[in-house]
Amino acid sequence: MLLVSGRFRSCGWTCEFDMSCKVKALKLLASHLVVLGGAWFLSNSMKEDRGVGEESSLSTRVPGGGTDGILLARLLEPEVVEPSKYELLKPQLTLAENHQEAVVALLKLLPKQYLRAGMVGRDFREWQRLPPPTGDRIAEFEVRVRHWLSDDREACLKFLREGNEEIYLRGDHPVFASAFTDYALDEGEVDWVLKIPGGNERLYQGCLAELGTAKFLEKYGGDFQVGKEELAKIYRTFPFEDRDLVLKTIIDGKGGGSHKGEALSSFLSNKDHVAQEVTAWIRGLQDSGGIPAEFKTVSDQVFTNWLMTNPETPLGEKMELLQSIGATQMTVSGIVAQSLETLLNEGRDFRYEFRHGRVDAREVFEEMTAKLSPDSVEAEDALKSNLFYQLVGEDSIGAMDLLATLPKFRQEEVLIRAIGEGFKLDDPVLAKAYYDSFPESVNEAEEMNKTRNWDSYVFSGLSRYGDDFVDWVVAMPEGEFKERSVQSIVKWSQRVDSPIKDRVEKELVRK
Amino acid sequence: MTRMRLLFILSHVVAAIVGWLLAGGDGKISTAVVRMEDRGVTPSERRSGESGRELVGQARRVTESDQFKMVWDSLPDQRLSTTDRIKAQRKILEEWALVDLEAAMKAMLAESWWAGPAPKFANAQLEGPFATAFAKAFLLDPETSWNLITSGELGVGAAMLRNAWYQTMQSKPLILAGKLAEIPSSEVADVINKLDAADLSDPGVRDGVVEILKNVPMSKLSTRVVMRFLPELTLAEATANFRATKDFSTREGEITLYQYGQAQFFDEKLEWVRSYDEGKLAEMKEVADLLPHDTQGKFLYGLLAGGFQYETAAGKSERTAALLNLLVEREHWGELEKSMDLTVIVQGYGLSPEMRVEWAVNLPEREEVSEVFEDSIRPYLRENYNQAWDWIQEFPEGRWREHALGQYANEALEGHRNLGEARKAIDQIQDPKVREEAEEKYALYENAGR
Repeated sequence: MLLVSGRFRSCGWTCEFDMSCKVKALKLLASHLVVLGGAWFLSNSMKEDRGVGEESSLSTRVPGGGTDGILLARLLEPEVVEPSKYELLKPQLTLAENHQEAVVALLKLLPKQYLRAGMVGRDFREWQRLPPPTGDRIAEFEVRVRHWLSDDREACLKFLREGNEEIYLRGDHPVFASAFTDYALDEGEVDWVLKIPGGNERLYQGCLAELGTAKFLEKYGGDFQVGKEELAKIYRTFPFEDRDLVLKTIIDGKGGGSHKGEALSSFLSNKDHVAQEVTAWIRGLQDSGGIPAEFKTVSDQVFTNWLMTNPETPLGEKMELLQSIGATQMTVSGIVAQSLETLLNEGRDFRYEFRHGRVDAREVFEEMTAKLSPDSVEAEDALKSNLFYQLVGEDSIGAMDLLATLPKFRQEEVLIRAIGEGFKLDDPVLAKAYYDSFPESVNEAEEMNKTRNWDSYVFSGLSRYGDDFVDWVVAMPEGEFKERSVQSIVKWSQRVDSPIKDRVEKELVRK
Repeated sequence: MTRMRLLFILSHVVAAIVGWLLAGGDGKISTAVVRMEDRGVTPSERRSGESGRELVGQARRVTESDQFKMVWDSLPDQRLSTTDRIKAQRKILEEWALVDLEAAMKAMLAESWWAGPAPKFANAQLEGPFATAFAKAFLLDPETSWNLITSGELGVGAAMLRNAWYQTMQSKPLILAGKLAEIPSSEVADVINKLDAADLSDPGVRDGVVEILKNVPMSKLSTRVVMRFLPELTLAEATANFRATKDFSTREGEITLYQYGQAQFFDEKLEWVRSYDEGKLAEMKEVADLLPHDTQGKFLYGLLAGGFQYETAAGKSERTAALLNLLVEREHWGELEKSMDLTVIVQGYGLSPEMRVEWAVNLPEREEVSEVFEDSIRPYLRENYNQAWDWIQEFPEGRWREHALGQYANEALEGHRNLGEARKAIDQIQDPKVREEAEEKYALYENAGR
């Protein structure tokens, strides 16, 4: 270090190494250190001030030196919904002198899937070759239509639907959901717009907010004809206390059964409803025979789906109710599998936490048991095996705990079936490691079972990873496993038309 | 100000800068490399004087990358729902990739590849839950990211990243097309579709893409596909090119041939098709006979595929029938077999079931056209099931009788769930392959009925 060198030299400034010089030097060093430390502190504190909003500041820190909490907080923030291009452009665009001309100029540039072309020959092919439109063009078109609607809505609609011989809009064109809805809500013309196919959820929501449930249902809720698909979705917003009115409106409504079914299913999917109350309602409807015969097939299907996937109805009650509806083909295992999947998909991500060792298989099982209430040995075993399929791809060794208490013959069946069930599209390296952990088959049935399940894994792997999957198999060391995998690929290539066929033929079969 | 005083101030300023840098600064210096890449400056274009900064940048990137890794690793503690977890991971990967693409990719590949309960992003089946989160990083440096993906070090999961890369590069068609020669054949069709939907309105870009496509080996990319990107010629232009071409086996030769065939149909308002007559058939034969056998097959096949929709639009089927007959007459069995892939076959070549069956039973009894035969008699069998048995009994011994019996058994099972009728037909089949197929189907229905 400079200090102990006997002479202190800095920037051509020297002094003899005496006491006063020593003190000076120490003061000088201290002042430099203070400046250095100050700058360090300032820099860090500025970063903390910058905090959450600023994108480029990634080096935020958290007291205690643990994980980067601010960065994490920012990344977990809900996404801000940006205004659409239409909304941005609407106040900016001045009125065109001639609405029709302005719209025609944009019409051909729209996404082709929403246009119907009456043109033939060269015009049609040239139109097909036009580049895809940008979002700005689409927004411009929508604003032009919006302007025209205010000015002369009948002329605008007539032109868009039929006024141009060569090209016109399909009823589901998004402009009906943007400009038309906007017009209806801005100018209180809901009645007029609702007559046009292609209304969207926002339109119905606006209408509902204006009228309230009962009036809305009375006026619009009973029309399930083609072109009113979005209407069915609005049923999600009705409160449970209006259930009888809702059901009556659906039953009495005009139009097709599938849209009616969708409306009922949408009504049941409201997360504010209490599962126990919904279950009791369904039971009451079954017992009282309150549903007319012509709607019963539709409602039975909707109730069955709801019961199958809703994880909050206790299993025993669910099973009994399903049987009373006539869904007798449902097995305990099938019902458990469906409810479990819904629970894991919609609730806390136990699969992920399990993969990373935050919970173990027993804990997940206990959580699921508390939620699903299996009330028989059969249901409990079904929960164990289905949970095993859900977890095995995340951590196959950790998942084994679940199988320990299953009967021996079930254990083997579940272990092998998990190749096809549990790994789905996951890393083939993991799937193979799992497969390798099996002891040799003791009989032909077990061997066939393994083959069938490995086939099922290979088929899904090939459809996602294509040639890379084939490469992976080609690179395997020669042996029984490779042969089995080649056989699976050959089977797949016989069923699916893919250029991979040639490779299979050249590299795997004729080798 | 004395010199000493100036030095005193300067040395403190230096200390301040060192302190600032030690703390990681305000991010401006350290992220300089990243910002330059934002502007499209690739590392090789950077001036040598900036190498010091680059080093600071690299050192800093490691720190930032570590921070993303810490966040990534701490995510399981957040107890998120599946959907929120995948969303959060996508956001982390999106930003992490801008700092350290390789580390972000490896982190992604070590995670579950299941796409989640209801993925909102396109094509999650192929790309998995995360690969499209790298779009910004791919656009920032397409080549480096491509090299990383194709380095062979990422294992099977690289396929998901490759698919996401194609999707991103749809906005840079020249770069996307440039990879066609090296990608697996099974992905060519997907890339072509992406190019087809890309913005090629800039003539420079379109010409560039076409040039690249022409140079992809013909075994990998058929000329028929390249045609989708070429301008149409008038009949006069196409004819002039056709007459001037000697070798039709090259890419350019095939293009000339196809353009010539195309121009025949794309005459204004379909006049040519409407005015179809024997004279035109003679002309078509004359042109075909100018060509070597291989090329002739391609030419006729091209006419069959290209003309069909225009012909049916004009309410005609004679031309298709004439083309099919010409394919038979000139023995283009491969092309006839390939016609099974065309929409032509789905719509029965525009022929009525009776016309079609009449044509089919007169086909030479060859293996290559067995499928065409079966497909052609199926609609007839369906419509005339009750008389079909007697009709088949009149078939002379031979391949077509065997296939007709097989199809009869098929119809008995599929259309009428009649095991007895199916068995009666199967018992008469002698061809082992046809019989095996029929037996398999029979077993399926027999088991289903138990």
